[in-house]
Amino acid sequence: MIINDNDKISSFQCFVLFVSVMIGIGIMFMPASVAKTAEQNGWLAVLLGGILSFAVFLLIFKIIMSNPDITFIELLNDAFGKILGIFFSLIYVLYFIIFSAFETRLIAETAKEFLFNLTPNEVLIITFLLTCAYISRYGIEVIARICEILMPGIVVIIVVLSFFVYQRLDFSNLLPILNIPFLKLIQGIGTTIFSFLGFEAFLFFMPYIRRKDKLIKSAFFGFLVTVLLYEVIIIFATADFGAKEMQTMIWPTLNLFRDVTVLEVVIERPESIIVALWMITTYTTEIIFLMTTGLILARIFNTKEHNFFVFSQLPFIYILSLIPQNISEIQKFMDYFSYFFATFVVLFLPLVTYTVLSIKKKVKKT
Amino acid sequence: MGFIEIIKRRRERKRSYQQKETKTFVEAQDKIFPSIDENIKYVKELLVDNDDIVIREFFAGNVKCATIFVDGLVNREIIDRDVIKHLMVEIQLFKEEISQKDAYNKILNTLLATSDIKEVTSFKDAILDLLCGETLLFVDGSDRIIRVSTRSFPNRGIQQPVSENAVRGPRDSFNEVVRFSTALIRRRVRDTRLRIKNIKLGRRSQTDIYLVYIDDIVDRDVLNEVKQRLSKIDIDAVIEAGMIEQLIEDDIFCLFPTIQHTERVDTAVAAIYEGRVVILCDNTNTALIVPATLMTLIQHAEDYYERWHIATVIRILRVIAALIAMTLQGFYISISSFTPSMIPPDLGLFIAATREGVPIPVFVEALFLEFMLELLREAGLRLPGPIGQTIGIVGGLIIGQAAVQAGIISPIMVILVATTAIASFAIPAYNFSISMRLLKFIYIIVCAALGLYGFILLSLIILSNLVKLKSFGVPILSPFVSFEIMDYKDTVVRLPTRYLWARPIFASTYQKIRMMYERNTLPSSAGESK
Repeated sequence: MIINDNDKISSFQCFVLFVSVMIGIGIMFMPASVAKTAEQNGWLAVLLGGILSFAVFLLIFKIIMSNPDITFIELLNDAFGKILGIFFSLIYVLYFIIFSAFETRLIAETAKEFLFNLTPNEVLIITFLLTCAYISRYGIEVIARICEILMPGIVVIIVVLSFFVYQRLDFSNLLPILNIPFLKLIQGIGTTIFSFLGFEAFLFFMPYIRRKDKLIKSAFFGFLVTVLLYEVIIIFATADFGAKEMQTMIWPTLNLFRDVTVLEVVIERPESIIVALWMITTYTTEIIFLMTTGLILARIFNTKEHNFFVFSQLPFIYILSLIPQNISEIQKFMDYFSYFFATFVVLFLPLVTYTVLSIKKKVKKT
Repeated sequence: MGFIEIIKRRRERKRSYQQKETKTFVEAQDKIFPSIDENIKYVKELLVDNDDIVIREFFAGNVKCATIFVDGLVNREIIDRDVIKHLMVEIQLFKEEISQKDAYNKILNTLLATSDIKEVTSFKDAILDLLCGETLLFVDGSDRIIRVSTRSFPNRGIQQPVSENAVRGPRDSFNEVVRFSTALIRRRVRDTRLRIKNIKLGRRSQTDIYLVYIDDIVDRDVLNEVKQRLSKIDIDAVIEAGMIEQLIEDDIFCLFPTIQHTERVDTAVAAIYEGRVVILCDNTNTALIVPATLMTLIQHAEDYYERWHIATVIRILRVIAALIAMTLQGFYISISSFTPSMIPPDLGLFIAATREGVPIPVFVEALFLEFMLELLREAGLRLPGPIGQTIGIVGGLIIGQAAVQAGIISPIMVILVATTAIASFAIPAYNFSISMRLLKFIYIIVCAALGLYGFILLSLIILSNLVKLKSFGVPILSPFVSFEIMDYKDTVVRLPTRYLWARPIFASTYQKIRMMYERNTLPSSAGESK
């Protein structure tokens, strides 16, 4: 049975891509940053954040389904004209490049912290980027396939490890529920949003999806799995450490899995295993981002192959990823990024495009 | 200016290479002379200075005839007894004289007592046949040649497979004469749909290649792909099937094999029944099987003859062996030299104690010992049998022990190297196990540079390479990336034979069912049937 590389992905692959692209950077410190505002109600913030993100995705879906055979780039061109359209497309390129830079820098930081204290960041970043670019040269189908192999393993291992922590949990740490001001909870939701970002890559995947009508279903299950996984981690972390203690941590998820006694029989300090796992989740996110940028640029320059563009963005990612001085600065930048840039790119720009397009349609009709 | 000129000249030179002689090197003319003396003269001119060409001129009655054959490739008895003797002696029994005119037909129809003859109308075909071991019979006054089948060349008998042993299973293996190989397959497949198609490859060598498949099971697309790739080959000589393998494989840079090869007839036949294509090549004692997947490379014919529990356990063992052969060294290096705190204290202390006094770093130690091992393996292979074993003992025991006692190598490294070596022997496909050995060195180098981080990155690269890799259009990680749930039955696990009623989907989408399985036709238990 010959399988052709026709670059069409099935609805199951869509589901896998959703999970892979969303689970990535956030999972390691999301519990801590949420605890800073929402305290022990972090799990609620994550749940609401998930629902909110899904709502945003539904909006995006509605917009791109207005013309499902083309990517968002063409929609932008239609709405704003050629020059402005290309300008906005480049903003998306910038967005994904910055996102990739965050991913890369954080993976390097984590690896430096837990695996190599002496290796310079530059080496870690370059090797990671090249590894990701190696697979991103190929089309979306190959990437979907590799995610299909990696993602189930990651989810299963995280869930299994979580249940080994179960014995030392104290669920009274989760109480009392909803004792914080409502505004703080909303702030908490804001910080969880970053962990869900990534689904906007689907703005550019539309022509590659085989069953477009089933996309909503895949997206729902993708969000469901992601939210459930985050819930498990945040509830367990809160129950284990308590909200107050968690606020002071940098890597709460790592600390959570650090003392899995089952692993200690063979391996001391099992957090290295978690770092390895996290590297793989980041890898799946990063390859999708690199490919998306490649696809966008290939559309802008009207070429068929996106090989070249995958590699040409690497230097920019490399330079951008070296800008922050330390972890707290990265987190500060990430907050800015998700509050302003992401809101603009994920929510605002598609909405405006949609409005402009529908107004244009009406004008044409009359 | 100069630069452009150089390019131009290069292109011209390249074109001139391409234009030179793409025709076959059986460069005889098509036309056959009516006069026998001219024919013989022409053959002598064509095959000048060849002392193994035997030409015998004689008279059948009053008609001049001649036999030509290559000594050593023919069965002389047939020529002497059934051709020459018949023509010279039996012709006396004819009452009337044979005229020059109808001599040819008479000889063809009534005087040749051999079963396989053919008329040839072109010199080119005739010469090619001659070089294959057939005998040409010229008759004066005719512009056709009679080709008498007399092929019989030096060969060895059917012997045991050397590289793919099995405790249980048939002991016959392919050998160098491709005709024997096809016969061995035909003996097992009594099916009118079996196709054994001949292709001649090699401009000068004209080697016989046979495509073997069952017509209504084989995947058309794969078959066409194979044919197309074979037709693109334009090479001087095919010496062994390995050359074809390298010319038709999918990715020449990838370290994993995309074509399975086997010495065992039963493995090849099983592949034919699965809908795959077997490529047999003359002068080669292995058959190529396409398409191959990673899982077919770790399977062995014996798995199907033993009961399923055992086969499954052994297959899991082989998968683990492949992983160990590839990664164990790298893993040890990355942990022991970068993150030793990962090792539990007791074990860590033990390792530290054994490494006490060893002056060289783990990386160099591993590289050195692995290099030694590969050297020993190569030396042992090339030497004749008994000495080869001695090399193993000398190298493995004496040098290993001495190196440990001298304190340049730690005992734990000897254990690890031995484990990886044994693990690589446990993989049945030899080409696959070589790739594992090669990847082991890459792992060692990368892990020495980047530790666990590099270990994971390299694993991801290898995985992505495998995901991309295809063997004749079939993904090499087949059931795992194509998600054919039916194909999982015969991958790492092997279900009981009665559940293997469907052919693997990766190989063929036609004729899916190969066993009609109804519960009551198979005895489930003695008590129930009564």
